[in-house]
Amino acid sequence: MYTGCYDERVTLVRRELIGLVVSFAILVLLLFPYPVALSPFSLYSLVDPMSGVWINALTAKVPAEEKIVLPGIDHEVIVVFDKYGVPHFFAESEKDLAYAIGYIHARDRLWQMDFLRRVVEGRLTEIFGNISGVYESDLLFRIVGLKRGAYECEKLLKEKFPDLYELLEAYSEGVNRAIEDMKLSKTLPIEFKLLRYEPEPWTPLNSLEIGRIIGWGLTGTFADLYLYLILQKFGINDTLQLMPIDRYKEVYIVKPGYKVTLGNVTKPKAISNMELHLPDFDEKAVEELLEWKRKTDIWFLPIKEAFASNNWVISGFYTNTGKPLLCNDPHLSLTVPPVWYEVHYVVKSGDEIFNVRGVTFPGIPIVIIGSNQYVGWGFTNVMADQIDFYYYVWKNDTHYWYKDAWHKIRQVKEVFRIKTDAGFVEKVIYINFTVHGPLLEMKIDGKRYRFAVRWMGQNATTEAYALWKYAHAHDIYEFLSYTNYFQMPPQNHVFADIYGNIGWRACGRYPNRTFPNGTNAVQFNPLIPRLPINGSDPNVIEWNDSDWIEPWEAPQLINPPWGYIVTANNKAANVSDYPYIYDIAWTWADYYRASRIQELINETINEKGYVTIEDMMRIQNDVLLVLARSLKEFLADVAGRYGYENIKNLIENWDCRMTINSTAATIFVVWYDYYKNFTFSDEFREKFESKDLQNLWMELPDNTLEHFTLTNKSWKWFNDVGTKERENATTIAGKALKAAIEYLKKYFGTDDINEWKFGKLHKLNAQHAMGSTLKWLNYPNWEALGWSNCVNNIGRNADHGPSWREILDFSDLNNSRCIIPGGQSGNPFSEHYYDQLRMWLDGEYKKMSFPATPEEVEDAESIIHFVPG
Amino acid sequence: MKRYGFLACFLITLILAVLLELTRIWVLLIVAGVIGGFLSKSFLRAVFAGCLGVLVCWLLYIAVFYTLNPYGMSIALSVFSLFLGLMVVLGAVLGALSASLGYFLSQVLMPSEKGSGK
Repeated sequence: MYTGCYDERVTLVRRELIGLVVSFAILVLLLFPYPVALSPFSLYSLVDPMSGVWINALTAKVPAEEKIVLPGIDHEVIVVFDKYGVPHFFAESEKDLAYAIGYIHARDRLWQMDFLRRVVEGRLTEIFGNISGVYESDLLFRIVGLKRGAYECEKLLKEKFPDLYELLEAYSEGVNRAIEDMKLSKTLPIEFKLLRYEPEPWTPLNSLEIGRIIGWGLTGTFADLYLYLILQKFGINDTLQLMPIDRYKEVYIVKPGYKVTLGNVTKPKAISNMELHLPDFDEKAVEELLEWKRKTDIWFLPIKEAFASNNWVISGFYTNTGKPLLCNDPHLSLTVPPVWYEVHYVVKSGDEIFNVRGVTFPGIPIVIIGSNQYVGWGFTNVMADQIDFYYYVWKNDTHYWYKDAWHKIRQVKEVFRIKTDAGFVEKVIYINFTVHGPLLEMKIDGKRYRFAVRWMGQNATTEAYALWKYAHAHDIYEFLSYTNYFQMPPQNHVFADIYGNIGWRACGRYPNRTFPNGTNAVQFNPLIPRLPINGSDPNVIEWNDSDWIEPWEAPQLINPPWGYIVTANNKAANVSDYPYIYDIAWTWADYYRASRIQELINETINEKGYVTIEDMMRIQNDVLLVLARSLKEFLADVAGRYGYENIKNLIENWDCRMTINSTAATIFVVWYDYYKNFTFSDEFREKFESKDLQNLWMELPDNTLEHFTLTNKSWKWFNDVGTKERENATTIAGKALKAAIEYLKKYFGTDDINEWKFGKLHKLNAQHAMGSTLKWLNYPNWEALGWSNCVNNIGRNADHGPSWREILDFSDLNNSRCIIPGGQSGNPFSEHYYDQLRMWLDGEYKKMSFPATPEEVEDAESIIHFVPG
Repeated sequence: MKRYGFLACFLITLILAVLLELTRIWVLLIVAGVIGGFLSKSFLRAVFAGCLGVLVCWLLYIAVFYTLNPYGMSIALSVFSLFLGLMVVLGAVLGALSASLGYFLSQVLMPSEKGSGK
């Protein structure tokens, strides 16, 4: 029987079978979702047009009209987006509004929201792995207990303010609905795709966590620790020269002599009577702690240490319209996307309609700074001291001495999930608590160092309720009643209403630090809140939990006779006018911004008799550096003495404005840095071993150096302890000028000082959380004007500055102005990613109108109809 | 079973890929490649049809996206130029492999007279 054909067939089939198996095997091998960073599966997921990165580019442009079914709402909510992508909500109830804001927040800023809640919860390692500083950030925030604080707030809100809690629930539903829609349509923000994870559902707790992170940013300072080190090394007299209790020059919010006294309180004793018992812990421990904090700041984007703000309000008596003008520009980190998300809404609340516009934090459905149709408000940081560090005598690892007995620490277990290329690894730690709070712990050379942290944010606080109610106020007096709930982070509220009233209150709940017998410790010694506290001392100073300095006891002004109120993180009042002043804060900003704003207001009023909204814009964008004006003559003199005639002429003819084409501005800032460095760094080098601590001189107020430069050129700190000669201010300034010129020659690559333009040195540095790796996520590095301590405070690294500029015109709120440094959208492919950035940098504004109906929204770009499902 | 030439297989793969892409589940593109390859007269025709079918499908989507949002897509293309190159390679590999799978499957289930003809 002939079987050749059959055999051939069998061979062929066998060959095809092998082909089939091989093809299948390669496909499976190729597409298996290996748990590695860049598996082919994950690459396919990224490059596929309809589910990868490209779909995010397509959907960056929203349709002109959309209808979205939201099962959680009762009535239709209309959202009209204007040409800057600002949503204008029109809702029948606050619950529907919260739902819709949740949806829109998530659509525009979901990854930012998720990132921030992860910062608070100490869960960044789950998405970034253990890259530089991430674990340290997670550890610090877990120990300090931002999430625990948010949880305490949640319990309180549920119990005392259920209406507000319901809104947070509705908001969370809105966010979660958007998450589901984005998951289905594969349009989750690009960061999720690049990091290969999906967001968990949003909860009301998460909204409160966002509040905690802002609170930490504005009050979580470790200044007590570095002041301690300076005191320990230099002694009380020198320290008080460098960092005086009252700065050499102060500009107060309350005009001296205008009393805001609140009853019978003992005045603080004179500084010379102070008795200080300095702790004897090692400088290495503090160094480690400061280093830990620095690492954390890398990841903690919204508000690093360099925070500041301006706000002021001018009575109608001095405005061209006869109604108040209110300005605010909070100086926070220039992040990508911006810290703020702008909204406008018209909502029915009970029988009333509220028309509100301002900025929200993505993650919180409440306008934080803004205005309704009656009252407007703005914030600056009080610079309040709401944090203390305790140290103890230890019997062993678990027992510490407190009030005549050994106490056992309490422990809480924390589990970290750290992302690796092969999945997650778990790490378990135990956080230890004393009666004062959780312990920050370090082991150095086998020795254990521990500080308990007492921070206001660990308590349940009620500012969420205050902020929610602000939008319901009908005049400043009602507004003021709501400020009683604003506890942390303490903020200088300035406010005004359409009836012509203006006011200010340094709202916050401040610790009342008392001895065991109940007497106030700060009145005994104003340095006490500025230093770590001995928790094992029988006379231990503790926060009196049943007797705070409450918001209604904070300094305030209502319609002051001088017609305006200016705050710029400066000291609120002289101690003779407000006796609790040392209790509430000590890290105030120098007088520069406050005095410049006052000066410009006064100048304008003297010139014209009134101020206009255009004047307010000019003041908000002012870049005159008061410190430079103060030291200009000195620098010119030094330049002349050292033979730099061209620089002498340049400085003499300089208007002290930090503009991008100024070369004098460049020379001044670089010279000043060297001048401060050469004045203080020699003594700090002598006292401290660690390089980081040797740089603590940077924390000294500029006003100290300014004061001694102008009044005592032979001040001992000017002497360089490393030389035999006796230096003074002039010789140090000359040396600094030489160094500055050498630096600038190198930096610009030319000796021609006409080329040393300030804008080439000072470039915008607005970073995305992933921007160090993915630079295209960052905003452009445009040349930036302004400088630290200018009114237009675009800081020295141009990574922080006015995060929102608002000017409210109470004669016609539709004539108000605003701008954010960037754009509304967190999608890098959206036209609204940074469409306001150039305007912001150039000092331009958008109209901040309050349309009453969807039809009245100017330059409408798109519209969404949220309909009940 | 009737088998087709390159153009027909390419078009079948392309159309199926375009439709399946709408599900936003890229793994389903394998189905388009498998069917295109299944119907192919020869192994090489199958591989090329699958390779080009998936690749052209993806590029078509990119072109449509660009037409709908030139601003966003121009930024995306500039920052993801590497991804675009990667997309070409990965699309081609996915199409080729799935078409090859389809072709061999057809040969096993319904062997052609000539076997794996050239």
